[in-house]
Amino acid sequence: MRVPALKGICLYLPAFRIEKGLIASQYMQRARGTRTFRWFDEDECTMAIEASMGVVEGTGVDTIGCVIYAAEKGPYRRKSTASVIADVLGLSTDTLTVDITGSERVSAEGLLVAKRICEATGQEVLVTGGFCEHGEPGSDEDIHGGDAGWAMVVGEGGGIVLEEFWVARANVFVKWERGEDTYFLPDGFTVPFELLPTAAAILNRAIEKSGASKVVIGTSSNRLPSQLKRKLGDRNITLFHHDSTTTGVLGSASLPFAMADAVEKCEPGESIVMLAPGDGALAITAKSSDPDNVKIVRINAENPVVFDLYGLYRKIVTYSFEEADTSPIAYWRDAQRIFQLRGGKCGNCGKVFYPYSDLCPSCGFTPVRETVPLSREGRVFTYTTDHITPSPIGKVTHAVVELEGGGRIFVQMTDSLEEMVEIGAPVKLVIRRIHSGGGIENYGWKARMVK
Amino acid sequence: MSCAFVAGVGMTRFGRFPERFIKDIGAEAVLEAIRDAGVNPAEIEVAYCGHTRGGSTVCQRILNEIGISGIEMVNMEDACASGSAAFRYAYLAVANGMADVVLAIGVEKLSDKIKGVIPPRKDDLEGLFGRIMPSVFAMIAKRHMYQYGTKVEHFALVSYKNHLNAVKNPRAMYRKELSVEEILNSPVICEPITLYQCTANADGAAAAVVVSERKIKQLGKLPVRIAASVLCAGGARVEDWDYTVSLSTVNASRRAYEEAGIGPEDLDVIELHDCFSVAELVHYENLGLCPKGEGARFIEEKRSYINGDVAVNPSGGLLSKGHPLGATGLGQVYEVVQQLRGNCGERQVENARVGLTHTMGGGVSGLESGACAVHILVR
Repeated sequence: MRVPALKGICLYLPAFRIEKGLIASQYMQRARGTRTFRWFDEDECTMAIEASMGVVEGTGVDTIGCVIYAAEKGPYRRKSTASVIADVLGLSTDTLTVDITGSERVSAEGLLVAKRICEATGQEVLVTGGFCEHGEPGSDEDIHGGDAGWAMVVGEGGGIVLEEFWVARANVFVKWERGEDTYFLPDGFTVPFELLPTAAAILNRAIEKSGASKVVIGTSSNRLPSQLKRKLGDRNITLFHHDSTTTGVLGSASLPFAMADAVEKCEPGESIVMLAPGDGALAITAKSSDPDNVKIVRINAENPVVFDLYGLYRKIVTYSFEEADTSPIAYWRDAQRIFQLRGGKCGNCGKVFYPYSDLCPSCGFTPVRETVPLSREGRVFTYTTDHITPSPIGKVTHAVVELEGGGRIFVQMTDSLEEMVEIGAPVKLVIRRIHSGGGIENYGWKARMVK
Repeated sequence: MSCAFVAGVGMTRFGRFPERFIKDIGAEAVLEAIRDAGVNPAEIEVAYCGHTRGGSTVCQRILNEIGISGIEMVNMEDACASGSAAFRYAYLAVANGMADVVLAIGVEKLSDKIKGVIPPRKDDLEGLFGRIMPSVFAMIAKRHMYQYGTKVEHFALVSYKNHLNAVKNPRAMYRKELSVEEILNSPVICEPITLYQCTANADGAAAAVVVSERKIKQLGKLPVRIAASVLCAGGARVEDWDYTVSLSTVNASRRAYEEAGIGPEDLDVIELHDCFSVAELVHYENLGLCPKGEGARFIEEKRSYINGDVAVNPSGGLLSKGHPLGATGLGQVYEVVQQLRGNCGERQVENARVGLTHTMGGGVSGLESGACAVHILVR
């Protein structure tokens, strides 16, 4: 009998924040706290990739047999986002890739599927997702939304064992509209009346069954947990939920954020219930065996760049790339060397080059049999700030990066407004949107400064 | 191989001619070259035409305009070095005894095709990642500044000198003297390169008639001999490549010096590929005019001015004469031939005897350039 358990959680926030009050004041409203927002070249997919790379850092990807992308929506209409993520991680093409989309409880659904796959195959499963919410100017989404990415690894030998689950559909007809997320629950807004009884009912059942003392609620709303708490009677339960004060509402990403908080405070032997509301609710019970054995990585949790210009913020989050002449076929042909960041290494002279070629470009016509994974870390070899390439901030910095362990790569710099780049500065390569064209999003490597 | 000579050259003014067809622009240069050579158009046996964006059979369209048809015509593309490639193949045809009279044409009409920077190719990896030509040279500039302490003023000086030269060239696109301050204060394109340190896209054409030894004697012209012709693709940018070195320029020029039996110190006039100010500065070093890292001193001491050690870009270069991609290489040949003949009036290099042209073209992922052509012409 295999025992699927949580092995790691990585939480990614974009580097940028803006005061909610600043946005609200443009529309004669009030709000407090800050919200996160993605850089113009980020989306749900790239944030999921950031988190995925964070969660496998140090442990490698050799044991991962399945990638699940679980989020309200993905960037592609007819392409699997999980496949893009598997490509970037360098997983083999026979890796199972699954996309799950839908309501706010989708991250819990992903976890559930991961548990099932692990039980059936013994493989480790990477579950990941991203959340972006901006809406129309002045909308609740604009003011109260937030952006984040997350990733969790489920496999045997993890610290939090996933046990049972309950799922319930809403017991009354739920208002829904095409293209609108009815479960967007900004802080201070009323909880849809039909959600509470459903959620409370399965939560009570899950607590009774598992004897849990901790409940993780997958919401960024501050109202829902307090209302649920009242429905739990006089049980001694600690509730965890993601507080949206500094990040904004994170939708389906709220659950992994809250889960990380709970795991950090969890004692061995304790039980946890994860409750994910959304079109009814889904509850998963988990038993902590060795909570210290769950790796928790947080990216950009501290020292964010806080914007004080609403116009520039909107410009960044609504930026659409210039339509470029591109061919999906050419793009996917290059996918291996672009996404997997593999270079060539000459067996004769030992030099590393990117992109790889069949013959060594340095020592002549020696056949190169080996492709090697390149490091994502390096230093700026040379750079320039380009004032003519279109960008919402009016400039783009190009750089040639010397990678640790060999190889040079030409990339654009990202995640910065200031000119902090200099020759020798340490940088890290990240996957970002490069341009859109022919109906496809093209991703590729960029570099960001290591603070 | 036998000797080949340039018997005649022709060139339009470089500029923007939206009202003219590419065939009209080309025909003007070809007619001037044929008249200059004094050959009968019927004697032309082969014609090579270099262009990058003219569409199919540009050579045929140009020559049909004049009334030449039925001969062997080849269209060639090697990015900005297309015209130099055409010139090299004209040289090869004569030197190998394939023909006595060969025409080389370079032509381009960009004004209706590209505004501003040439867009990066999305099917090239670095193009996909957003590389544009000014960014490549700006990054070379940054390395040169880092390694050798070169200042932005040095790059601006190159542009200043070339604009100064172009004032005296009636066929140049920009004939306005600019101060170093004006150059540095113009809008930034890619730091540290400013607008007035970038070449301008242009329309234009240039042509040369290349003939055999027997023919040049018969024509009774001052013989300008093609002493060396080298064309090579850019070198690979391997991990230890020094960005301030253009491998292809170093290789091509060394081979050309050997072929011509001269050294860089023998050169009187050079037309080199100054697509951006920094390019000319590093090519002083690449061509061996000065030691590595001393390009800044070379321009500071005015050694590349018309009355300096060696006149570099007396025509104004790409920076001020304009850069009609396919025509550039033959535009350089035009200037060097006229300099060797002593026809350049105010910008004449005194007693010019040996000249060199250097053209680079294109950007390819993993290569420091697309193509590099070096020709040495001797009076």
